[in-house]
Amino acid sequence: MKPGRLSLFIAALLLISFTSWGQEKRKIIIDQDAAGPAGTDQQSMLLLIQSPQTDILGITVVTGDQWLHAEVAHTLRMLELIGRTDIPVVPGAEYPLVRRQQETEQWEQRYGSVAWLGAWTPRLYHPPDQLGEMPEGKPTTKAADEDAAHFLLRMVHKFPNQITIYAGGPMTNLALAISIDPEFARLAKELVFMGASFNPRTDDPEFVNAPTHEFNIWFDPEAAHVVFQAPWKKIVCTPVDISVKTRLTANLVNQIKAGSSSAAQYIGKYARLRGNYNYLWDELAAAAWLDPGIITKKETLFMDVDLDRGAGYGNTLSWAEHDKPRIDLQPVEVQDDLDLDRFYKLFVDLLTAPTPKKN
Amino acid sequence: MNSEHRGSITRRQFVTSSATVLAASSLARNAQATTNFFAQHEAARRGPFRVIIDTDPGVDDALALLLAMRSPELKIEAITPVAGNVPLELTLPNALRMVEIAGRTDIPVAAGARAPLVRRLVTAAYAHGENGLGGAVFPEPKTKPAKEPAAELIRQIVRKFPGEVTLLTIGPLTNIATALSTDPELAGMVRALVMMGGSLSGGNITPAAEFNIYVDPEAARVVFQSGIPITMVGLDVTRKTSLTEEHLRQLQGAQNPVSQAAATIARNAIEHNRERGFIVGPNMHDSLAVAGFIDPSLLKLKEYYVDVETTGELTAGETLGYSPNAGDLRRRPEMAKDPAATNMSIRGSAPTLASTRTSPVVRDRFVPNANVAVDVDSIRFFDLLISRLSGKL
Repeated sequence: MKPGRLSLFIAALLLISFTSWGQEKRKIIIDQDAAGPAGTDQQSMLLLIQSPQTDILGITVVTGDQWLHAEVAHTLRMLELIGRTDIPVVPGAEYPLVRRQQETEQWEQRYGSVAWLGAWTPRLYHPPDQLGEMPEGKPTTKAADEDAAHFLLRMVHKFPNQITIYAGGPMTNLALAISIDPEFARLAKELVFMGASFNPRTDDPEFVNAPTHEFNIWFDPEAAHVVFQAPWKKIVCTPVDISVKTRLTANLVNQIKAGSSSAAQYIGKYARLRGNYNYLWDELAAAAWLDPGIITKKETLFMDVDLDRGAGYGNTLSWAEHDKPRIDLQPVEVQDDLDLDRFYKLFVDLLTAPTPKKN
Repeated sequence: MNSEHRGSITRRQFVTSSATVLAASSLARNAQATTNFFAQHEAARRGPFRVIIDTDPGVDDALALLLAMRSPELKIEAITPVAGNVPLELTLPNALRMVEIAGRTDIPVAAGARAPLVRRLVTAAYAHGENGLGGAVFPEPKTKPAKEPAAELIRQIVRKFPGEVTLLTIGPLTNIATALSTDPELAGMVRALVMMGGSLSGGNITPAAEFNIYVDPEAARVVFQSGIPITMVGLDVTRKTSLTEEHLRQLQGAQNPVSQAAATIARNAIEHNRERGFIVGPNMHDSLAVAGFIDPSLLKLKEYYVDVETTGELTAGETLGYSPNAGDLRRRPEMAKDPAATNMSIRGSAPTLASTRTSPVVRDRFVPNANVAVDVDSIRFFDLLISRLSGKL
């Protein structure tokens, strides 16, 4: 790293630590379909862990991009590599509430193929009780002996109105927590999630003909519906519309690779770039929560999910105040546009910074 | 909710100790010959059996709970009320009232779900009265519910006794689906599930759907697809059970708190039924499921692959029973076990114009997931019910 860059880097670090100085650390639970190694799920968790602002109460895991057991293993291993095995990893739902793989295959025969099927993607498929490839090595640490829904509930009762629920995957665990105790949403401070798609401006074939289809919502539509209906104090949405404005590039990876932190080494070793559409999906949701100044434009929408089992099953539904249906819907703060440079800078700075110690 | 409060066997210990068993069961579960499953189940019948009763009391639920608590064949590990016939604010205290009446406050009663998994709650106060007990009034319960929520208590108990616990469900299946979803390994540890719910011959709340399944069809679907061996006691048999004035007189004649409470509930139910203009007495839906578990010879069972309609505009909550040996598909006896019978493919609705396929097949082979009660010995059922409630075992 050149001296000029280094001083900038230190200044940025100081800025981050000053802003959180004297304040209580921000309590957050990460609910992730934590595929790995590296990739958007692990990278977003690293951003939150690397920030000196945060008190990570735990990582609850759910099947989505990969199967639950593989995701738990990748997450445990990532925490081992950065020396943060104090953060509990809590296994959650192995299957969506209602959707099943076989029914999804039948749906595809009727209505066309789905670009990303997560754990069910044929070319990456392995059974749910296997781990698949683990180039970063298998973990020696163990997951928590509690399930995600009850862990989430226990935490919001312990720290009422203080916890941000960050959701980067399908919302099965959150829906189960709400089903067990409807007070869950009210007891949390806020919900911050990556998911949903409204009208993204992109040439990406995944969205051109399916603009309101987004994986996290689609994979467990019933869960997302339950979560959107719950009485949250605040909901913040990072949708595909803003994700498609971001890219993980070789340049960014190289900047991170140059860092000496364990997190930087992990990303440098395992980050993979494929094709033209390497979005920073979950990373943006995390970064915008850490530094709200990254978001330059936002709007309030009312949201739900299409639960009819036809062609639109799992698609995002949205309304403005003037045309929303006369049912109880929660207002959602939807992010529209961002300061890309500020985002990329925070991304590189946090991932190359030393990992904060256990609280 | 702390992990210290768990049962004696933890998630991880169990996984390690029986990894092979689990792997085999989770992978081969659907392919397994379900006949063997049920045969084993019957062969191994030695009581008392550990059960959890999931319920929404409810007039007939209340009687079913009293029956269960008076039956030495059952070791009731917990009662888990759920919203259904009436909201949880009533089903929870009603369940507590029943354990107090039966003198069984040793049984933990844990609060379950207030609402179905996905849908808004529909209750049946029209049939169960505003208090859920058909207007029969009992004192406020003094007993407190367990500190764990129902789904967690179900999970703890099943893990504590893997392979031993039968779930007796006589309400909507929200609590069970939640427990199964929070713990992916749980289904493999449940011995069996006996439900009052569903119908292969038309519904009650709609022409298609039976009430318990109608309230939470998504949860019912999770349960039917879980791989747990299921006995479905539905309207096909429960509508053949009618409580009569004679039954009521027998209950009133017995002088003990349970029979007197049962008589009060039964009297209100009979009167309410008459006021609504019904010709036959109230059906003992839930008690029949409990009785059918206590004495399997009361029911005639038939294997089906049962699935639940969750999307119908008018029919959500309908249970469909697929069988290569039922109705028009009935084979001559010597053909019933022919392998050709299991080659029956299970079909969904005809394709729409947009479809590329001519024939949507849900499953390409018949593998039963439930034993459905198709007939009942109603006289012997009432003998059992009334004698147990009257204190004559």
